Amino acid sequence: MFASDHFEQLIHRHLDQIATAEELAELDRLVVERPEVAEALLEAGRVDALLTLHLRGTEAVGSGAVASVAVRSAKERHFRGAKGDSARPAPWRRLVLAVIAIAAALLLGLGVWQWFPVPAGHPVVAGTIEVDGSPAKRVADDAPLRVVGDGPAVIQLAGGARAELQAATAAVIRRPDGSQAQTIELLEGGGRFQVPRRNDRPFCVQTCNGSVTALGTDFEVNLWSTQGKGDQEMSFRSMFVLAVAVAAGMVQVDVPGEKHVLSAGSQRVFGAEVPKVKSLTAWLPSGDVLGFTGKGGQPFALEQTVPGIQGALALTDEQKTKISAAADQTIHSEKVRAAMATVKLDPNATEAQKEEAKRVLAEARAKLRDLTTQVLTPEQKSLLPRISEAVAEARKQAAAAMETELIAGKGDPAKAAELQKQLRQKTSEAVQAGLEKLLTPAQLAAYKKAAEAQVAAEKLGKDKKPKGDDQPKKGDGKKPKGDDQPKKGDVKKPKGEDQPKKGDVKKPRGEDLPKKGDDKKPVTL
Amino acid sequence: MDQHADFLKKFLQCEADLRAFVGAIVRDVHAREDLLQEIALTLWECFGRYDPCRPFAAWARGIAAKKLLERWHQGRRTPVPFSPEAVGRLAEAAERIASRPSPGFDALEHCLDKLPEKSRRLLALRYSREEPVEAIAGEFRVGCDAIYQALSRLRRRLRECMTRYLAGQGET
Repeated sequence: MFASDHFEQLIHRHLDQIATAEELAELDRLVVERPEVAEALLEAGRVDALLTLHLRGTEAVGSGAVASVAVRSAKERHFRGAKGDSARPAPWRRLVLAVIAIAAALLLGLGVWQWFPVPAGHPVVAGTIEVDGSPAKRVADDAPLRVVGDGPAVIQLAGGARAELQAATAAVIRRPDGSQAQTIELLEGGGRFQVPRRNDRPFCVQTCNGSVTALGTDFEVNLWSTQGKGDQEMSFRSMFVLAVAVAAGMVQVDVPGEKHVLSAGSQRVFGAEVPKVKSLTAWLPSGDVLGFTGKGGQPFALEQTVPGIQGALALTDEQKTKISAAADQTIHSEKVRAAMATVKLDPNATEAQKEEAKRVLAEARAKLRDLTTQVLTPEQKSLLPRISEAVAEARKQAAAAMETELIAGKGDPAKAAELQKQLRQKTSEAVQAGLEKLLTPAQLAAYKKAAEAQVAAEKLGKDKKPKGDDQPKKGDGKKPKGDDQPKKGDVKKPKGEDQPKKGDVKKPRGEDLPKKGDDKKPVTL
Repeated sequence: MDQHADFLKKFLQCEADLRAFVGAIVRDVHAREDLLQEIALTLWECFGRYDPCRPFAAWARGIAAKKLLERWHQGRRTPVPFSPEAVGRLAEAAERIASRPSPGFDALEHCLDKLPEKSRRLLALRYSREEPVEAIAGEFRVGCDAIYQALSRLRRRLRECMTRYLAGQGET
């Protein structure tokens, strides 16, 4: 019986292409006769394949993951060219180009010949996008856009890149200084970005928490706002969490003071540490935390429809401090952040895991509501339902007043849109009238001050919530630093020419190098 | 999901295993990549005949095995150095190990991080820059045999580490 290290040796000699014909014949025989040898050869082949893919920058992952796009840095191409390689693209690259050709054609539903820069205005190929409040079929650079409706929207970008933006996402497409680089400034929400290999212009997604830069890859970026979206999401401070998942290729994530490289199959959450609020004076907790309710009596961030409404409660600084501390214990805890990551990002999460994560979130939200209730005065607590009811009643009255017109306008989309706009206006007026009857002068003044602050912030494309100056602002001070950003054609610049592309060299040890006695010349490596 | 996206998703999910299967047999890098390209295109062309009740990876592997045998039967023993029977055994072995947890890039990254710098450099020269072993040996100032043995030890070490990594994940 052969010792296992004998067939191991044969396997490795085969992998390194130094096995003689006799050795190959012997390995062939062993593979046929012994299942464990066949398995060992495949396992060794798998390690070899992973190394090839990982270190060469090509990406493929095992079962359960998606996407494989090969990437090679301009430096490598140059290196191969300098070695006198023929003009024929490297075989791996031809495979990649074939796959990419299939991929781009399949995903975009276009012919490969349609890979040319998109003319002015990026076409919206699916879903509904509004620019400046109006539906748009093309999105110009620097125009703030928002995805409306329940589903995602897909925008075709220059060079065959593609952005699939989730519902309610707000973003701006930019081309800094008219360069070839493409930047998506993500203000809220998230999306999946596919950048074909041929697209040799740097592609970057910028958020207030950091930026994600990629070349020839498929990745997802989510900017989680703790803003309530009216769907029971607990919103609190202006905490944004940047979540990045890479399906293929590699991306560089730049967050303040740190740079991270993520490869295929990786996902990470950045900025999950709650920023220390310097001053709570101008800050307000979200309406669903405080106890406002919406349809069906469910907790609702009422400021989404009535900006600044939390101001009416006239919270003291002490109350805000306590509510802030309660949030740290509950929805901002490590356990909840991890649960959010599971729900939002993990493509391999089972249904049971997602359900558990949702349960953890719901529990944290409920606890935060309880703790907040303990902080409020009896007067504030009694005001909450009265405000919620007044707003609901005002909405009901406005809708009733326009009911006939709304029914008549249903068949005409343009007319229906106009009527909806009028309804929003009427509702707003009715809500204001109701609040003026309900609130004391002091409460009214506080509410209006908070409303002005929130509206001003929204208008500038910043947070929707009324915020103090100490809150993180979208696109503010978190831009890529510049010099350390990957530049066109050089995104995968390795740290040293001969270092593995991934990660930093960390722990020098002294093993597994050719040892003394392996060769006639004793050398320590 | 339309057929196009469905194919792409399935193909890309099994690409690593497919590449490992073909790579365990065909070692010449150019021949291997040519073959993989041919397999990818064949899979796409035949996708209409794929039975979704069957695992896509197994179907893809079957097509890959057929391509390997075609090459063998063409009389060119290189680059397919194994007999049809051995290729068949390898396909069966691939089926057996497909159901086991397989280490991915996270396991590899974890284990690469544990290696000394020079080991990582050796692997980078071999896999990233595809340097011939003679050139690598020259750079390290040792003989070719020393490099081969070092590579062999490194691959074994990585495989053991990744197995432990997977086992460790399963325990938590």
